[in-house]
Amino acid sequence: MTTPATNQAERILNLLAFLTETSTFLTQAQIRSAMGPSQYADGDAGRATFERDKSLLREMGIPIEMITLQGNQAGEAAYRIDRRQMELSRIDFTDEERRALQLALAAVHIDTAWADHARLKLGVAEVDNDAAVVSQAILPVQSDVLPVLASAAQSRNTIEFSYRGENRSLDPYGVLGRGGYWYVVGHDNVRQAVRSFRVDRIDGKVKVLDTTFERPADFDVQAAVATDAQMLGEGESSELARVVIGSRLAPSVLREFGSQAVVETRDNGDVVVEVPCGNRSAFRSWVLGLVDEAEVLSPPEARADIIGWLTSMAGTS
Amino acid sequence: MSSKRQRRAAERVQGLLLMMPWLVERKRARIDEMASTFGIDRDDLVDDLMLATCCGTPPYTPLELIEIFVDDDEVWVELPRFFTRPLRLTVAEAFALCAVAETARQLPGAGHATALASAVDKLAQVTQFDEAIVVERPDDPKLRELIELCERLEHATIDYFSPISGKESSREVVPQRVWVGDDHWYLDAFDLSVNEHRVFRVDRITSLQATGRFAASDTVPPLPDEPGFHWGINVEHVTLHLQPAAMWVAEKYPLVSKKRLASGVWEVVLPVASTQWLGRLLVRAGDAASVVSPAGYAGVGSDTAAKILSRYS
Repeated sequence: MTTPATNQAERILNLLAFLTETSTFLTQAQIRSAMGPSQYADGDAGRATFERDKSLLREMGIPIEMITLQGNQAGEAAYRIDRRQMELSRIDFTDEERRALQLALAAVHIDTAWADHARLKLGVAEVDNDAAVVSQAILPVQSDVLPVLASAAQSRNTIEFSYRGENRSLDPYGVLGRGGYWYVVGHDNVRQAVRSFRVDRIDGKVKVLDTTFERPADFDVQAAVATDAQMLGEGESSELARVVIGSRLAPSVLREFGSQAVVETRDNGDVVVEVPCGNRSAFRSWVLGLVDEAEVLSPPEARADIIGWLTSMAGTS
Repeated sequence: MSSKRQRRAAERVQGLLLMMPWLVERKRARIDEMASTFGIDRDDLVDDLMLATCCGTPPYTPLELIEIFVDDDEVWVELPRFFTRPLRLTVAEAFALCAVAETARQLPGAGHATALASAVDKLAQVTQFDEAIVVERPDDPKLRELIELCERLEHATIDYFSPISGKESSREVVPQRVWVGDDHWYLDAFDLSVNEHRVFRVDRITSLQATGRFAASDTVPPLPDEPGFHWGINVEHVTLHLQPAAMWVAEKYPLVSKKRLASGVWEVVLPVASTQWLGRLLVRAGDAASVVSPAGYAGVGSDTAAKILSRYS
């Protein structure tokens, strides 16, 4: 059964085939005339249909070149597609390189079809049995704007977006995947300072401006985004808290804060660590995440804050 | 029209532009194989291939149309003229490929590091990405040993501590795969004490000992292709109301559903890993999260708070 979508799909493929076979620039009228009335009606309706099809092809990433003609057709737009600009150039991978890519794509599970489409375009076959790859990773993308942010960081274009209801202008220096989240890092043009933003909290679309910028030499994207451990100290005071950690969770806490955080090791294997607590809510969340394997010893205000929080929750006084 | 939903023209065109070069490269393919490769319904695929046979250039005589032939089981092309090469990678495809390569480069024990690095160098010609994408992975000193055990299917005894149950246990397992998700490494292993597949957080394995005993590959049930937490069909769900201060819960954990109420509060439904797990979540969220249902979970937050509070008395 022929539906409007079928007709449109057929017409778009015909337009693409026609433009890739034509080496010269042609005006819209010339294209419509050559493709015939079965494809584009005469008059305004045909012109509008052509414009819609052209936009759709461009949205798909098809590079339709346009020039403005001179001479007796002055001012008229003419179009063509350069196949070299449209088609993926061949990459001669060695067998080892192809195998390495194949294994990389099997080992990393990304939650979009993008990587799979890239794999198919590059002609890299799937691994027969993904589960046989013994070291794997899950890589959530979470947001459709992430490639736009990475691309703007690569091309050094300023971007604008809305973040938690506030408009931001950023010179993006890079994107960082950490702890299951993505961050875009760069120079915030309003606050005039380096800032990072959680990509999944960006509202709606990102606008890429023509304005370009210089990225500072040797800028370290990882260092610019505070780790969870560093977040504990991001407050008004630089206070340190002493927390006793049960022996069973001590190794994972030490991996987070380093062995230099240990101020006492007890006979039963428990350790007392000194960690920042200036950001009281982040500190509380970290301590309570260790459930009853952690107890805040000092400062008294931090200990009282935890006791108050728990007392309120437990419904006791 | 076979599809249960009406597919948009752009979706069909994009699909064909991806599939045609693949087919041209092979000349002939089984329809089932092609449908599975491209993740498309078989009938939709046949519809799209038939659509392509009607396309070409003026005057649209048979000689000017795409030569694709479809029978019951197979599809083949002859003298391909149009759409023979894949389109350039889109920005999203290039990003995904680079992010995957950057992640894989850091996976311990993955091997092929040199070959992957030179493949990535060659890819830079078509992706344009070099320094804009950074992916950070945690490390763990037990990973290399665990990977070797996985490769050999060698039994190991582990001591494992779970802070949410508050218990440490010893067990013999067959390590099968390590994987990194959020900010932690996990071990997929066959737990011989319960004869079931289990997931362990690697930094909570407090002791690891190879036993010298080996499992035959056909005696260990295969793992699902994709690692992760696979909720059983009987897993219980909890409905929570979240104030803005507790929205991290909705961002961090997998949700069954999420809706914003007129009051501005978010109502979320999520699977409950264990009562202890829910208690830990609630005690961190405090007053900003409350249990709506089931009623049996209503006291979990306060019980957990009381348990922690007992340390301070």
